[in-house]
Amino acid sequence: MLKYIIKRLLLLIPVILGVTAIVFFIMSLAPGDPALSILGPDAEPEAVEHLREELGLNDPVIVQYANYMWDFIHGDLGTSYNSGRPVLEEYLYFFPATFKLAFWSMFVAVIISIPIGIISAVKQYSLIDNIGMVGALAGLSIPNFWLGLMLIMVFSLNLGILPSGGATAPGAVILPAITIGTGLTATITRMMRSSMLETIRQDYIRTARAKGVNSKKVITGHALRNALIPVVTVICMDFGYCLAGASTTEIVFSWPGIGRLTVNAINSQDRPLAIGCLIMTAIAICVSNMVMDILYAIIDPRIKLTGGSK
Amino acid sequence: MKKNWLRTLSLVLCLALCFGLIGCGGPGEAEEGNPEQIVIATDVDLKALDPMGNWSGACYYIYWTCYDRLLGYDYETGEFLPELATSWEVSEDGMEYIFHLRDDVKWHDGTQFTAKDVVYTVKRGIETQCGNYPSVSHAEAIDDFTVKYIMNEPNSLVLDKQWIGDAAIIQDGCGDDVATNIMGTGAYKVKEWHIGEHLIIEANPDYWGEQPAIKEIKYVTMPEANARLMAVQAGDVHVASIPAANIKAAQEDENLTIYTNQSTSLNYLGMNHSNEYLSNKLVRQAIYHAINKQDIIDAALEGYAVQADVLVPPSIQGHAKDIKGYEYDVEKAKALLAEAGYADGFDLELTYRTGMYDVQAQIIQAQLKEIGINVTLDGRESAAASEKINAGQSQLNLGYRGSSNADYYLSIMHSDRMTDGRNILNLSNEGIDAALDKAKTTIDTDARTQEYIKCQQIAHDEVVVVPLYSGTVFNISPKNLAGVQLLPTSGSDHRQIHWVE
Repeated sequence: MLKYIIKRLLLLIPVILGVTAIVFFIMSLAPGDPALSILGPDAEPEAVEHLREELGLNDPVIVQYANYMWDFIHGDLGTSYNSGRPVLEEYLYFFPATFKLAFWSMFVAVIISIPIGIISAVKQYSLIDNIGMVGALAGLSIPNFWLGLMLIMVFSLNLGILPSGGATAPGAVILPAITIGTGLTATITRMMRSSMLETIRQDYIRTARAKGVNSKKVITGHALRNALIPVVTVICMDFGYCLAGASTTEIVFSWPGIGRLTVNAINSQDRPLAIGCLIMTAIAICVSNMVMDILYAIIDPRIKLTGGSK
Repeated sequence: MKKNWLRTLSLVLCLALCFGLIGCGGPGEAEEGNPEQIVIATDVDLKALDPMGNWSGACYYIYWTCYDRLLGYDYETGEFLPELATSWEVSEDGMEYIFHLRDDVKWHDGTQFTAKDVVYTVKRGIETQCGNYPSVSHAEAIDDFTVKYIMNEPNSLVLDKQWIGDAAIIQDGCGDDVATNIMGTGAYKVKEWHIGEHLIIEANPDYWGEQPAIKEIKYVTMPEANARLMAVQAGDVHVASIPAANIKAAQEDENLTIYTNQSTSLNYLGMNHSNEYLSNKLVRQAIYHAINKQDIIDAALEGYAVQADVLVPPSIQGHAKDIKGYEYDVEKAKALLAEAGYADGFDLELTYRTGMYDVQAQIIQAQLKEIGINVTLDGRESAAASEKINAGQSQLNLGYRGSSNADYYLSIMHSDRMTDGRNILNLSNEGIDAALDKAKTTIDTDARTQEYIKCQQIAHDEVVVVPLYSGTVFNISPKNLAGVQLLPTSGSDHRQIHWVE
């Protein structure tokens, strides 16, 4: 297992190199001058030129990239143009809020979707199944910005029981977590249902039933574990995406997270911060995929994780 | 490994219940019955607050509350008021400005404010080219509480620049730390700052002036306008800015006070005077007549803006109130175009900032189509649009100016612009250059105003640009709160906020 983890971590290196190159060159190709963006459209030309020189923007892109990578391998992701703080510090400052939101969103999604998915599969075409599937479709279709605003209207404005935004007030995470969790619930419910349906049609389930095993035990003891593998894949991948931040939801709920940080950085041409955020996000997704592989082995002992290929 | 499924589910549901109950602890950011603290929503993150480098509207909230300037300003009379400077003199030749400073002012860290701080502020301001010290060579401390600005050449704008929000006096030697370590002499000082989340300021007990009524102000970041409106309605937030699109919803709520102020931003349609068609005055005049400004205001700004006749808005000294813009008249526009020899029309491109002028651009496109001018829309992200427009490569462009002095609005027409990298109009007009140059070195206010009016008259006669509108800015607060001062210049001042019965 340890060997496997080390191998996966080493595989991160080419991924990060690829991501830095792509992101850096795309950001450099983007129209607009970061110096002009920082100083405003009417800045004195001397001030813009002075800043361009200071930021190294007058160097050829390839030189800028080489300088960036040199700093990068020394653990320096640069300094944010807007705030003047180190990028890594800025990212780590906002990351806990994003992690908290991702965790609770996934929590909401899992506790709702797994039971509904199982019941829908076991009682296929029943009323519960139909309601569950219509609900899932609705959950997938509702845009987050709308759902977020509706939740604020009901729970903050009308009922006055939950805060409308921010991250420090008690219970502030509930509404954004429900907003993000709704979409996730829909995906996971559908995945759980189809995976469970496939599993309960397997021969070994029929055998277990023929042997007279209690129906509940067939589902929870025999079918669930096997049906969970694709669901775990979806959960881990979605969790990885959540760690990239949910910019729309974060903006609606004034949640100080990575999504908002990244979007602001891109909009304001804060190149080091945007690149730093995207690289850190790539790392977060890779790590969550690695966790997914490890979970496979725990859920299904037939899957063996090995360090080298055979 | 066989577990009781129901037991697991119950455990999970219990956890969920606990999780839900955490949220029922209380209302949001602002608790009722706590008049000591008010919450104000900002639309952007307060991440860096360097008065000489960060100029988004919300930054000014902190510049006004936590810092002082040498001068204050009476918005009614247009007179300068004493602030950190108790009095000031200008030498006859306009080459020296002497400011006598208060001797009872302490920085937030308890140290004495002296002339050295002003000298440092001016030095850093000139180095960072912040624009608040036009033609100032340097400043000297005559004694601890007297400071002298020495000019390279006379410039009438110096005093105008000493009262604006970002002319904040910073502490000697603070360097670039000023952006994250707010150390001012103002009525409030920073208590707690969670970047991206909130910034709490508290009344400064050692403040030299009157103590503010509100003991604490908490600034929270809320980028979404609907969310800001609902947060004020829910009582989580006490003051917030909202765009024109939300104003109807705010008006329907009788518990809200709406503060409005004519913004000093002036939006215009710029024309490139070196363009084959636009170099012809008849064409420019035809375009002016073809544009219905009210349609633009109604569609893009819900009607909340005032049509502009000249480039300097009415609230700014130097506004030429007697000049009226060319009226909307499609037939006249067509006739002028025919007279210019373009009865069949031609093609033009309109460059603008997306997210800011999309609706305006589409309406102008439709209006110019009426007279046969086919406009291609060239919407770009802000910095990319500025780059193209400033390089003099746009044909038509949409832009705005916003400042506290007429020179700033009119300077886009100066021929200097053709070589300094901000070439919006590709214009060289001797009359305009002469009027602007003379205004700059004229210390007498009335004489200077005359030069600005002369400049606007030439611009009107020559149809240099099409001034479109000045927008309106809105803030909302609950009815029992008063004193939000929306300033004609950037931002709003929160020092006067107080509770009312």
